[in-house]
Amino acid sequence: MCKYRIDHDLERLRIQRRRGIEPARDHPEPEDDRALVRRAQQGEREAFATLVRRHQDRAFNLAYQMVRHREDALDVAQEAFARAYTSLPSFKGDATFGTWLHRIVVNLAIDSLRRRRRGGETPYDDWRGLPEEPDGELTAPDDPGMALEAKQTRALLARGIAELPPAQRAALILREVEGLSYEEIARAVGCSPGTVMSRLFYGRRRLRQVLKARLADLR
Amino acid sequence: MTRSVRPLPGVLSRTSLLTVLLAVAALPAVVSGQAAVPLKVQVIYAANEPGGVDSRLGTLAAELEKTFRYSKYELLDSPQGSAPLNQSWRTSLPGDRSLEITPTAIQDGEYTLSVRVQASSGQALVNTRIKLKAGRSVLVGGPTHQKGVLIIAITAG
Amino acid sequence: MHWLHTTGRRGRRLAAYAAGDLSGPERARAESALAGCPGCRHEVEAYRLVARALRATPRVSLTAAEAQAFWPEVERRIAAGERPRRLPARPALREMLWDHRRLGLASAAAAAVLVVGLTLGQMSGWLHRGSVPSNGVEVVSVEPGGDAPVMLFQAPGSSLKVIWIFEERPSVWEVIR
Repeated sequence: MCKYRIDHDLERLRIQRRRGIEPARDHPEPEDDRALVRRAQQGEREAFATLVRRHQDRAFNLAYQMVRHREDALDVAQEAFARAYTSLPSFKGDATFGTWLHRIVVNLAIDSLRRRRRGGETPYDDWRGLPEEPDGELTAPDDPGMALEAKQTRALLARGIAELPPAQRAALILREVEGLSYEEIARAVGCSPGTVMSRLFYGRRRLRQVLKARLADLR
Repeated sequence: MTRSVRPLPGVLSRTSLLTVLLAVAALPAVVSGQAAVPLKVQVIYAANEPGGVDSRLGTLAAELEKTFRYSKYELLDSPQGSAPLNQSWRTSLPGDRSLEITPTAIQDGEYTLSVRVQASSGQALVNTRIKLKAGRSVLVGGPTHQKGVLIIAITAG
Repeated sequence: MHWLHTTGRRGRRLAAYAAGDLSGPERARAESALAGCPGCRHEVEAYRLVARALRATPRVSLTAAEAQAFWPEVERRIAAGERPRRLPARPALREMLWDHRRLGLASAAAAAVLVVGLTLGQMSGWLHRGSVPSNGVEVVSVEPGGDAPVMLFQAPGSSLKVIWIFEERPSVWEVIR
């Protein structure tokens, strides 16, 4: 039986370069992070502060993509670092600090989503009308009509992502937004690459259905 | 007054007695081979969507909530049946899957079952052997269904 | 050659190809197969648009004020110590015993060792070491079918042992004529 061979390095770099993100690699890890973690584990608070400043933006972006609410995202990201600090003694270093942190952020984001659901707010509440549109690149900068279309497509997409089960949402965000490979996603969320592949497929299929009408319009 | 015990009549009677004893010794095996093990299955849909816990799940609901964090548990089906030792009982599962349970032993109220979950292609998703005391359940879960997963509770006896 | 467009393993192939997840000979074969299937090309285009839309998702950043206040807030939370001492089970997954091919479990005690966070946030189990009561249920052996990993766990406080199946990773060319 043939297996997928995933050209994750090339594809990840392609995605990340397109997004202007410095590629993150699990191996080799920047020496700085490993050394900082060791110093932090020995009690140097300032070493951990450096790690926080280095990773805070990325953690916040990941949290935001999951929960799509700025305050909640800030809460999730800050809490993730606090928990990471508390759990530093158990961090063995077999994954990078960034991957380890990814896992904490994703799990806390899902907890946050669940709390919102229990509180009676459906994720859809965030998406009535157009969701908060952060500053970012426009896909069609020159043509106002196309810019509006792009914005509406993003709104539809945001709505679709909000309706995905958290596991599929996380897989899609980590893959398509953060540019992680299947193996990195598997390590980040604690499942097999095969499960990552399944989640990506189901998530993409649902989004395709959500965008179906829009896709028909754009053709 | 003493009562004398009449000695057994000759060889023929001893042979007959031996035959009877052997037959009696074999009886539990014969009975076990024919005994049908009662089987009960609950096919549950679990997902993170509105819906809460299906009241038909009874006492299983609390155990599910201790184990998982889904917000919805719905009983899709609750097939029951029985199977003699080393014979299989089958039931269909959503998504063109199937469940096959084969009791292989009974001892002291404990049932040994071979359980197989099969995909629509016929390939096994899992083969497992479990021992269940009468009335106890084991869960087999994970196959995707709609927006969530299937969880199958298997109870014997 | 005929592709089922939206369901099953064929659909997965299309989605994976469209997302750029195939490479080398498999990618070449997919392209060759697509050449003769207009319906499939339509599907691939739809999935490509989804991928492009996702990748165009604007990135959000902390404002300058948020960035400056971030570490002090983290410090405050650390000092407040309002969180559980242990993280949820997922980070401990690397310690779990997980054999893709076979889990042979000789006793109830061994069977109860494994606790796995399987789907994100769905499991409330913790990693156990040592024996737990069998509670009248013993998993003697578990053998995954095909490539689908299988895990076994039991949440603390629950009497249920759970055998969890991951759906099989699809074979790319299984159904292509």
